[in-house]
Amino acid sequence: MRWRPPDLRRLFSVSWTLAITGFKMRYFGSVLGYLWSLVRPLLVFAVLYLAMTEILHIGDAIPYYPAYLITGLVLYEFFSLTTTEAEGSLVANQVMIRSIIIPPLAIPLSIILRSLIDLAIKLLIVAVVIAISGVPVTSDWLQIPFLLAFLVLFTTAMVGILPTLFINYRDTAPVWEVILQLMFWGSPIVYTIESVPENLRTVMLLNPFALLMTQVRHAVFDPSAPPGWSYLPSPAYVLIPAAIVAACLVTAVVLLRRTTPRLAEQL
Amino acid sequence: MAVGSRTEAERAAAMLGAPNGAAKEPPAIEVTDVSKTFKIPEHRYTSLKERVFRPQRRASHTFDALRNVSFEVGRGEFFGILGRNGSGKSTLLRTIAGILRPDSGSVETHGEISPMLALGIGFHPELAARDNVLINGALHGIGRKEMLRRFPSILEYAELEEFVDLPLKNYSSGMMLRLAFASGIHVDADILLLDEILAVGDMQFQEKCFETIRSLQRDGKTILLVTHALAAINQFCDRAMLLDHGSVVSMGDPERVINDYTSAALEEIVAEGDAGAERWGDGTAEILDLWFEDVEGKRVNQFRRGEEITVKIRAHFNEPLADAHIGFSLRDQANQLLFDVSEPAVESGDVSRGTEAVLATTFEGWLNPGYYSVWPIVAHIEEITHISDLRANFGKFMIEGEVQGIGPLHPRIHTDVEVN
Repeated sequence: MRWRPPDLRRLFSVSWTLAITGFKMRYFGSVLGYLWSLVRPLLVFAVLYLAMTEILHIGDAIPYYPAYLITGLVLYEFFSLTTTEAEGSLVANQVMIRSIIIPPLAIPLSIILRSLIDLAIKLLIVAVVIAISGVPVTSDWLQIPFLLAFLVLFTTAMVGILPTLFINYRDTAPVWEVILQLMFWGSPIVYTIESVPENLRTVMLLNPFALLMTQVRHAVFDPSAPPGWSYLPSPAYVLIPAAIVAACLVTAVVLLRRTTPRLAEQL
Repeated sequence: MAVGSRTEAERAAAMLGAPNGAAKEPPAIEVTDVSKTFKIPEHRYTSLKERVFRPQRRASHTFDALRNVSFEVGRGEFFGILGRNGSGKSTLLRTIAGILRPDSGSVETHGEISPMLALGIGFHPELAARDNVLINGALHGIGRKEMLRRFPSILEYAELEEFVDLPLKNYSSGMMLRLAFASGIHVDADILLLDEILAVGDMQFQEKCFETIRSLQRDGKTILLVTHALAAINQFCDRAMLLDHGSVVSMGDPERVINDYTSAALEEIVAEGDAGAERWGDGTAEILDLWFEDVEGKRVNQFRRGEEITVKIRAHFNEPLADAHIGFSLRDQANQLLFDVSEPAVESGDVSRGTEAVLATTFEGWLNPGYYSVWPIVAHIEEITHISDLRANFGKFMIEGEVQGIGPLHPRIHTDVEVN
């Protein structure tokens, strides 16, 4: 049978419905339910903040450290939660995939959409924190949409790759968990790039998330901090993390195109 | 049940396509030479670790779910698909729906398809009826607004108006199924694929489901129905098809196809009957053969309700036996004893070694449709009864016809109510 291009309108409407339901499910459709879901990230923030300022004194020298930390945590959480949840989504919804004419992409896409709603709300909170902290508004803030787009692109690529791998390799899950840990501590989220020995900075910034965080710090919190690329031997090195994201996207497309036509029988 | 069954003329019209004679329209479903093979790995890798450490285990066998299946379903036709479990029915529906791709051959459909292969897809226990209906609709391609418009009638149909705000987790299973059927069937596609979804809810609700199916039929929808409910096939379908191991073995008039299905099933059951059946006895005699004959003395395994059935049992005596009896018990599918028969093997005295005896018993088969099994026995009595040979499920026959009442036995009954 010919390959049929996916019906985008239907793909979107199904994904959107699944996303909304997922959102409602998670928070039981109430504001209180949503606030309750913020308790965990806030506690994580509190623990890290105390550890970094009272014990390790890393945060002391960083301007607007609480706002900086919470921004990093929200962005990282978006990436880690979305990818982790997407990972098992195709397997978890196999009855659905086998029983109705549903574009298989709708399931991971719905998870991205739901996470985006979640991210939007959390960014509002972050904005409030930033405002309270008195971070000055600069023209560099215009970079924010692009930085977010970069993050969403990277997340989307992983959301394409992980669930298709998970079908045949269930140990994708523990491996990804470790990689996420690595990305958390290997990116300037709780600290800044200056704390990293110079010889390690290049390697570290090849991680797209690390580069993103460095640039976020420059663009949002501290224009005096050098931009992300300046820590690399040459600005051209920026192409490497960019290429990593691009490669992930291509891999995702290839995997999805190979998997989706026969998905119903592979699960 | 006469209600809803179609006349021959209607069936013929439906078979030709549109009843108004616009015969040039393409059929709703055209399946041409479709085959589908599944690879079933002997051992399925589920982790990277296994694949790395045990690369040699790559063996897999193939399973032909569909073999060169071809058929057409005309517009407005009601088409039934029969077959045992694993005969490829669901694979066929999934292939028509486009969920699975055929390995070879082609599937062409004209009109919007709505598959109902499972009920209540996307239902979530934490949510109440409205949200679940909306999700279900969206998954079936119906927008939120449209589904909201339909919601009141869905709720009414499912008889759940009082429970609008109740989360599904607090539903009884019957309520859940009603909501699932109601939200699924309110779909206005041209082609409906129904897989085993009719046996839903209690009797009243089932009747409602059937009524809905009838109205869909009247509206000229093309319907493919997979079910084990033979009565439903007979009652609704214009044509039917029998699948066996992925191949079409019979197609056409539903009654004939049902007949092919039941006799094939019977053949298998009868063939299985001998092997592996339990056997008891001291070996002093041996039951060699058991068969059934109709009024004309022909060996058959199928009888109409009420038809005369002759059971013949041939036994061989290995030892001289005192007071030997041959007989059998008749049991239904649930192994429930219906009646038994026992006759002396010879008119008087002992049976001598090497004797062969044939017991012929004739009775009227006032039994409800289904399979019945005969357990033949040879016994001899020396102070107490000794079993020489008893063979469980040794012979099986089938009764065809309309079901009357509940329970296996249903003789000719005359009733009379006098009102004083």
